[in-house]
Order: sequence, then structure tokens, then C-alpha cells
Amino acid sequence: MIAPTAGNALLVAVLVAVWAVGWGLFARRAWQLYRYLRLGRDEDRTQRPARRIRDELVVYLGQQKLFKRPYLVRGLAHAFIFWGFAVITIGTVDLFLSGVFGFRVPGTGTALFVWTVDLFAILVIASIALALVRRLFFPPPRMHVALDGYLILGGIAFLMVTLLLFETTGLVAGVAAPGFADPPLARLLHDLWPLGDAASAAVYGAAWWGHLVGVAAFAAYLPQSKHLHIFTTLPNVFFRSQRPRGALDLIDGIEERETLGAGSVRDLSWKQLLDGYTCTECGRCSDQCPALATGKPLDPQRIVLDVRDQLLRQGGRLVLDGSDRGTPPARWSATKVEELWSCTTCGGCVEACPVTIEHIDKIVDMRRWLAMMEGDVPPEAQRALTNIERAGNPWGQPRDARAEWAAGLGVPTSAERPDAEWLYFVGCAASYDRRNQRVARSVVEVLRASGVSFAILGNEETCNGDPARRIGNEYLWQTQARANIETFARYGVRKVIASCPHCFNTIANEYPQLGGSYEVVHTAQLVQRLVTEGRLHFAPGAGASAGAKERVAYHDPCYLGRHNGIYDEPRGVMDVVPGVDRVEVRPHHRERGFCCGAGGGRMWMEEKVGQRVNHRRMDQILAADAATPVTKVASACPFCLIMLDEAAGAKGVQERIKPIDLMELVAARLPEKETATP
Amino acid sequence: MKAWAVVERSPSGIRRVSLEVAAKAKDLGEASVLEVTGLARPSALPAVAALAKRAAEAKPDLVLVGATAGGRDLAARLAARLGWAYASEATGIAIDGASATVTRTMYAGKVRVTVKAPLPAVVSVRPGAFTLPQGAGEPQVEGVAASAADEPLAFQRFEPSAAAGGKVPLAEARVVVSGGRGLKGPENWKMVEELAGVLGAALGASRAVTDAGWRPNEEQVGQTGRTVTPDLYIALGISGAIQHLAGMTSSKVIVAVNKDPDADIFKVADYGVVGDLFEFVPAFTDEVRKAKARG
Amino acid sequence: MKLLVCIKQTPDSTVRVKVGPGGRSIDESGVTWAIAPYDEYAVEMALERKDADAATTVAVVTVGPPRAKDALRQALAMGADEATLVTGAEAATLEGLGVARALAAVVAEAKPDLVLCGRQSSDDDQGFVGPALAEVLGWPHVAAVTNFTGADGAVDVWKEVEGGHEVWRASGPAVLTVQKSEKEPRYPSLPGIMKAKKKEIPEKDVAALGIEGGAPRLEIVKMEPPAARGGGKILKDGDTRQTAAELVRLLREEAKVL
Repeated sequence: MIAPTAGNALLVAVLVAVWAVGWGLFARRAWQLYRYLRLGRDEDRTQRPARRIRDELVVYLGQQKLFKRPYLVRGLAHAFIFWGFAVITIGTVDLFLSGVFGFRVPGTGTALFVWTVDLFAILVIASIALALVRRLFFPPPRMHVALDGYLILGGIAFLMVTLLLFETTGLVAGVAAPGFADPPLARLLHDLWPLGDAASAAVYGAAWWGHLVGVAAFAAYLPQSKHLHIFTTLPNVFFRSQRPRGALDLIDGIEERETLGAGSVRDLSWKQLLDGYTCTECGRCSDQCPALATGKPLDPQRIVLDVRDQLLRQGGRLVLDGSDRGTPPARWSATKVEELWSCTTCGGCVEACPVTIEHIDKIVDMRRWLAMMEGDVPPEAQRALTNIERAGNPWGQPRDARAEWAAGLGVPTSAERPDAEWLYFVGCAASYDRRNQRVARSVVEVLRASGVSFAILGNEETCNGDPARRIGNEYLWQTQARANIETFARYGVRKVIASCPHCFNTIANEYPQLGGSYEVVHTAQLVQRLVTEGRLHFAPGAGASAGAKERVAYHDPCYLGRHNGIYDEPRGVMDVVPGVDRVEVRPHHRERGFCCGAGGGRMWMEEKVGQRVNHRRMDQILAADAATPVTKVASACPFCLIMLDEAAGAKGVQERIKPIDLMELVAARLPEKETATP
Repeated sequence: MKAWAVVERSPSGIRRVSLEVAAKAKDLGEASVLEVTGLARPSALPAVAALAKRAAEAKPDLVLVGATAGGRDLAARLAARLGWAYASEATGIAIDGASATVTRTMYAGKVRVTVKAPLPAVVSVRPGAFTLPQGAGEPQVEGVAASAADEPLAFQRFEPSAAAGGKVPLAEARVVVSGGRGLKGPENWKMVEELAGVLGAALGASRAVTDAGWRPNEEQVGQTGRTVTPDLYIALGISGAIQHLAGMTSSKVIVAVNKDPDADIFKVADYGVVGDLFEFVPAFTDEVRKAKARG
Repeated sequence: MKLLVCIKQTPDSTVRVKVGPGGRSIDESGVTWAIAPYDEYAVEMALERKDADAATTVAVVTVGPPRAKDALRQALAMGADEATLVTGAEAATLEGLGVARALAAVVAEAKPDLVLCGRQSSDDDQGFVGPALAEVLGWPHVAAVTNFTGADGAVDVWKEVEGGHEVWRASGPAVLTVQKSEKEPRYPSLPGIMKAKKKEIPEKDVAALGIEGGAPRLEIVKMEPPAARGGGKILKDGDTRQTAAELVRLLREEAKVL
């Protein structure tokens, strides 16, 4: 199309001015936001550049996280809007350049390009229509239905409409540029166009100007709204954490630090603040949060937005303060503190977020402030920490009773068998909790049946420190970790088996931060491996029970599943154990698994509000009963087992459904075992 | 060997532990049973002043006091004033020439010790350590006049507990009925109170439930709560964590009711009931009531 | 207000105390040491007072072997302002009246308004030093304290008794032996721990305190684990009413406690 500004210096000047103002306002606000960002603490997010580029392509450009169930259709709608926007932006640039310089971007005249633009225009309009209808008539509970949303949707719609208008009227008014392909939609609409040449030319001009002014207005508005995410997602994905999922970040040189954790926005890192800008207020994180689902004050979306709001509210003043840290920013209020302790660190929010916001890191950072700077931790959790410090386990049981679960089993300690191939790190729960001691014994049975060479640390084992780190006492975690790493080094430990996902996660993903690197497997992975290698066989089951299958639900532990991506191995194990008919707890399974409520140190905290998380989970499991009832629920985590046991007891369903551990399921079917019930 | 027994009174007469102590004193030698009089409210300093004065005249070899809260307080201060050896919460005493051989516990009840205290000595005696001989009447009590003027502290007032636990005080109770998390919530304590009522027992609680605010702190039995030494301790829905056991393992007979057969409390219980306490306790209360009615 | 808290370092409550080879003392190998539980409440009570009134200073003192410094550091980390260790060759064997006299010497020098300590330590379980210290000082004492308020010259002290609390007023210095504080003993903040690590803890030698000797001592003749319990009857299956009746019968006829 020939630009309405062609040959008219005044109009060109106006166009340039409009865009200068629009983009100028954008730049000014963006700069201000950038300065606020710089208030945050430094953080190195440049590791693994190849992975970062890959994530950028797949997650940002590819919109990968948008398509998760149950948001598939909505995800597609958004993807179309995004891709459409990207493509159409080329067209917009082309429009501007042609309007100012008479210069066209190469390739914009090709059939391929015009077809692509028009295709996306349709997809975008359809998606916008869908979005508007949903927002107006069926808003999901967690969505903020605000003016901002309508403005954006309306704005995009306006841009699409003006695009189609000037394409069509351009064709009608005969201002098509020579040698440029005709946009197909324009071709279509051309035949239906009611107005004559002159009117069409006027509409053309209006639409053309409307479109470009619209873009400038959009640019000015963008950084004032959540729509800024279209820009900030680019760096937010690029700079996302490349740590293993379940790992929190290390506070180096902790003893020399003056401040620990985040007591205010200034203590959060620039990346955490960037998360605040990037939140699209979609509410998918809230949808997954077990605390919110059961009536706790925590809403992960709120945590992120509160960071943003606090920053925006105080940023101006803090930026002026320069390096003067004397006027501290506001501390977290009392309600915020309650929200922080409600988190189980299940990772549902992080998994769901399409723009890779890291909710857990923020929450733990704020907990770190409370735990280490103020010593202000819920009293029951505090006791657990004191117990870890003094007795090496959160229950405060005697150190020298740690190996009593193994009494009479003749399990060698590393001291007795230093050349053992594997170290079985038992963990506090299996060592001291009566129910889980049975699981530890099942593990020993399985290891022996497969001829695995292993030893335990016995009384030299001490808490891996995970509860301390999650509660925010990084110092205690480091103390515990170093103690274990030292013991491991003394016995030349290189390979570790863990039956607890929390032990597994922290030893595999977090101990390397302090120099302890080992090959670590969870018992579910190990059993899978042993079966594949032919080292573990099962008895088919005698007589009448042969061929009979019991329905066993599988509950994904958060620290095995979401935090470590181990979904298939436990299922593989269940499928290979005879007599087990695996049942999925849809839709709350795998990445959408619902937490048992014990993570994040919450095992040692009271739930005072709403329904208990573990009770809700049990409700879901019971509802997984289809025609034939589920008689057992298997998990692979001692905390899940304790929580599900409590829920079954509290609900009076312990006769109907029995929580068990995967290893008990396996051990019950070892050869030379007659009993089928663990 | 001259032995003193210093007795304490409660609204219903001389305290049982004082009677036990008086009987023991008689057992050990030439016994005098004394009671501090003239004080509206028991307080240590005036009592100590009066007893120390009398001790200077009468020169006893051994002063025994029942180890109630007040008794321990008085005994410790008296021993310090007199410069004598002091042993608290004795479960056994014998005289061996110039010293008393006392058995007691140490390390928060985790070990038993036999110690030699050079005479003269002051010893506080654990309630229930010495059995009252059948048909023992009240001993002859000598009054020792104390003067409130010896108390530099000024009494202001008594503040009753908001949720005053049971009517029987925990410290010297002969029977204690104690509740733990197994009771699920404060609303279920009616059952515990009923059983305690039928048994004439004091109410106790585990730390978990006092921390959770279900029961007042005064009822907490355990390491950092009270140590109790009843003849009968009934633990309902209590798992038996070490810290709780520390407060009650010196009970003569321990009965535990818990639905978990592996609960640690069964390791120390003389009689254990594995089952649902919500079913068992009412039935048990009923049976006790019937048995008591039969006489 | 100046507060002085007397603490003792004892085996941590999670430790399963074992009798040592001599049969007269405990086996100290592998023992984790900590401030005795009631003393911890005393420190907490003093610190709560400091939270409420910034003009309060909290000093802690202990009589013990060199390792007792760790207990003092714990108190400093919680927020105490200064700490003193009374040690020396004799300190390890000092007990009862001897300890009270040593502490009295420290008190005489420090001149606090109130002295706090736990109502009993968790090693000898005697509950003697508090009242004995008061006696040596010639001060009144209040036992089983759960709270105190007020200022110099009029300090109200809450003493736990059967059925409630008695409130007594001290118009001069006094010793308070603590049963429980308002809140659980605080977990020290990391900066607190770091500061405490670097703090100077002066030591005084017992011998140099010039206390008169000749305090009576208890000699441990034998130490053994508590009488083994358990091996009790477990009543499990069967009708609830039957079980209840059976238990009553056993308690009546066998145990003779009903």
C-alpha cells in the first residue's frame, strides 16, 4: 500500500512525533522500572548459556508452558495472539518505515508474508473474541477481572481491525503498491466492501493512522500495565534458574553476611523483582496451590504481585535514596508472615507459571529473613530446628537410637563395611518414625534380594537438613550438610540410595553446592533399574491370589515428581509388581499432583485454618475410586505416608484404604515371601 | 538419732505425704513431728527462720520434709541456712552411722542414684515413696511459731487459673488421668474429666496439647512440666515421647490407652489397652464407677 | 533494670543418659550439652523483660568446666549482653552450697536488681542452688516464677501454686527461680550467633573468689539406670466392655491401686 504520508513532509513529521511521544513515554517508564530493578540484590544468572537460549526458544517463542492441561485451548488462544503479534509487528514496523521513509521492509510484499499476516489476524481476532467472552461471562475464580484486561484486549482488537480495514480499503482505493502481493483477506473482503472509492480512501487513511497511533498509544500504556509481560518475559525466561528444580540457592559466606534473606524488596534479587513485572495475573499458580485450595491465606499470585506492588510503591523513594540504606523499606506485615508459613514448597505454582516466575525462591528468601535475622519462626517449627541442631533429627529422639530400626537385621554400617558400593541414607523419618521404620526394613529386604552391596551410617547419620533449609534456616542446613558430607568423605561414599525424596533431593541437588557430589538414586529409580538389569524378580503369587489384582492408587510425592521429574519410575515399578493394578488420581497426578501437606517444613507446623491439606488429598484419592474401589494408596515418601495415614485415620477410612510405601509393595512380592499384604 | 518431720497442712487436714514422712521419721529414730504455725500464707523465710532457731536448740540429725512445691522450697532454704547437706525427692532413706544413705533420681529422672549425705542433713521426700502403715493415725504435732514479719516480700493477691484444671492438684495426686493428642481436640476432654472425677484423680496433659492451647500449662506432665509420682497414672492417647515419660515413669502403676500398638508408652506401661479410646474410656469409667459402688 | 541469670550446662534433653563404667557417674562420651531447660526459661524471661524495656541489661553467669562457655554463648546468642564463666580446678566438683557461695561472689560484684535461675537443673535435679544463693545473699526468693513486672523497688512476681498464681511484691533485690516463661525460649538469630561467637567471656577462678570452704557434699555411691519397666500386660482384642471390666479387676486385685 502507498502510505498516506507519502510526499507529505508535515504528515511524516506528525507520524514521527506521535511515535516519538508514544515510544518516548514507553522508554521513560521502562527506564524507571529498570532502575527499580537495580535496587535488588545481585544475582548471577549467566550459568549454562546454551540451556538459556534453548529455554528462550522453547518456552518464550514456543509458548511451551502455556499448553499444560487443563488450559490447552486457552493456551492455544494465547499462543496465537503472541505469534500473531510477533508477525504483525513486522508489518507494523514496515508500515512505519514506509510512512516515514517510503521504505519497505524486504519480504513484506511476498505472498508468504501477507498470507501469514492475514492468517494470524484471523487467529488473533478469534482468540481475542474467545478471551473477551470468557472474561465477560465465565471468568475463572482466580482471574483479576480489571479494566486493564479489557483495555489490552480492546487495544489488540482495535489494531487487528484497523489492519484489516486499511488492507481492504487500500485494495479498494487502489493504493496498492506495485509488485506487492494482495493480502488474501483484503481480497475476500474487497468484494463485500460497500463503500465507494473516495470513501474507501478516507477509511484507508483513517485506518492506517489509527493503526500506527494505536501502536504508539499501546507502547505508552504497556509499561503501566501487566501487559508489560510481553517484553519482560523475554529476559525472565532467559534468566530463569538453571539450578536443578528442587534446589534452593546457596547463601555463600553466610557467617560474614550482614543481612540474610529478604526482609523487604531491597533484599530480593533483581531477578525476583523482574518476576514481579512479568506476572500476567493469569492465576494458574493459584489454581495449583494446595494451601489456597484448602483455605489458607497464601495465594502464590499475591506473593508475586505484592513484591511488584511494594517495589512500585517504594521504588521512587528508594532510587532517590541512592546508596543510603538507612531508611529501610517497609518490612513484611503480619499477614504476609502467615502467608509465608503456609507454603509447602510443593512447586505447583512454579510448574504452572507460563512465564517462569519462581515463587518458592521468594517465599524461602522471606522465610530466611524471619528465621535467621529475627529468629521468628512458628514455635513448633522452632522446636524441630532446635532438635535437628541438638539431636540430629527433628523429633528430638536420641542420636544413639538412630539405627534401632535395624536391630537384629545385621545391616552393616559403613564403619564395618567401608567397601560397600552403595550408602543407604535412611533419613530421620525411617529411622525414628514407627510406621516408616517398617519401610526401611522393606528397603533392606529388597536390596538384599537383589544382591546390592550397601551399608548404612547408623548413628553417624544425621539429618540431611532439608527441613531447616525450607523453613529458612540456611545456616543450620549448611551445618548439617557439611557434617554429612564430611562423614561421606571419611567413608569414601560415592553412591547414595535414598528412600525419602527430601533426602534424595537435597543430597543430589543441593549438597553439590557445598562440594558434595555423588551418584544419588531414589529407591523407586533403583528398583526400576534392578528389574531392568534382571537382578530383581517377583514371586507371581500362590494359588488363588495368582492373577488377582488389587487396585492401588499412586500418589506423586512433590519432591520426587515435580521437583525431580521422577514420575515414570515409580509407575514402572508398580506395573511390574504382580498383583497390582495401578490407578491414577486424575486430574491431580504427575505434574499436577496435589501435595500431602508436609513439605516446606510444614510437617512440624500446625494447620489452624481451613481444611487440612492431607485430608483434601485423601478426598481426591478416595474419589479416584471408579467402579472398583481402590484399597491402597502407594507413595514413595515417608512424609506422604505419615500424612496419608493421619488422613485415613481422621476420616475413619483406614479399613477401606491403606496407605503404603512403594517399597513395601515391592518387598511383599519378593520370592520366598508368601504374604501378599505388606 | 533425732529425726524431725516437718508437716504441711491442706484444707482437709495434714497432707498425706507429711503423714508418710512422719511415719518414716519414727522408723528412723527419735522422731519429732513439727508444723510451722502463725502464717496466714505459707512462705519460706519465716518458716526457715523459725525452724532454724528451733534446730539450734534441739539439734536434730535429720530433717525430713514432704517434697511438695512448698516443702522443697522450704527444705532447700533451711539446709542453706543451717549449712547442712541437702538431698531432694528421696525415694529411700537409711541411716548409716554419721551419714544418711538416700536413694533418688538424677538427670531428669533418667538414672537412679544412691548417695551418702553427711549428717546433719535436710532431706525432702517424694510423695508415695514410703507407704503409710495401715491404720496409722495422725501423729502428735508440735507447733513452731513463725512470724510473718520475717517475710520481706509483700503478698499482693491470689489469681486463680482461668481454666483451672481438675479439682485435685497434680503435684501430690495419688491418681492422675492424663490426655494427649489422641484425644483429637479440647472438646473431647469431658471424657477425661469424667474418668478423673470417678477416680478422684488430678488431670494431666502432654506437652503437645498444652502447647496447642487445649489444656492449661499447669497440667503439663513431662520434662519441662511437672514430674508426678502417683500410685496410678492413666495415659490416654499419649504416645509416650521421652520428654513426657521423664515426668511420670516413677508412677507406681502405669496404664496406657492408645490405638497404636507400637506406641512407646506401651514400653513403660504395666497395663496397656490397644484400641479406640473414644470407646474404651467411657466403658472403663463406667466399670470403675460400678466397682467403687460395690465397695 | 539489671538482671543476672544463673545458668547451668547439662546434657541436652534428647540425650539418653547412660551410666559410666565406674557405676558412679554418667558416660559423658557423645553427650550434647545445652543450657538446662528451666535455666533456658529463665534466660528467656529476662530477655522478654529486655524486649519490653530497652534499659534492661541481662548478664549470665555459670559455674562449671571450660565447656560451659558454650552454654554462655548460647545465652549471648539469644540476646544476653554479657557472660561470665566461673571455672578452675575446683569448679568441676563444686556443688550445692559451694556453688551458691561462688555465685554470691559474682552477684556481689555485679550488683543486679534481680537474680533469675531455673527452678532446678536437669542433672542433679535438686532445685537447691536458687534458694541457697538467696540465703547466702540474705535476699528473699520466690520459687516457681512464671512472670514478673514492675521496676526497682516494686517488682511484682507471679508464683505458680495449686489452682493459680500468688503475686508477691519485692521492694528490694530478690532471687527468682523460674518455672516457665511467657514464650518458648527464643531461637537465636544468626547475627546473634555470630556476634556471640566473637564476644569476650571473662573467666573467674573459683579459688580466687575467696569463698569459705567446707560446704557439705553428697557422695554418689551407686548410679544405675531406672528400674526397668514394662513387660506389662497388653489388652487388645475383644469386647470393649469386657476389656474395661478386666482392667478394673487387674487394677483392683493385682496392682492394688483401685
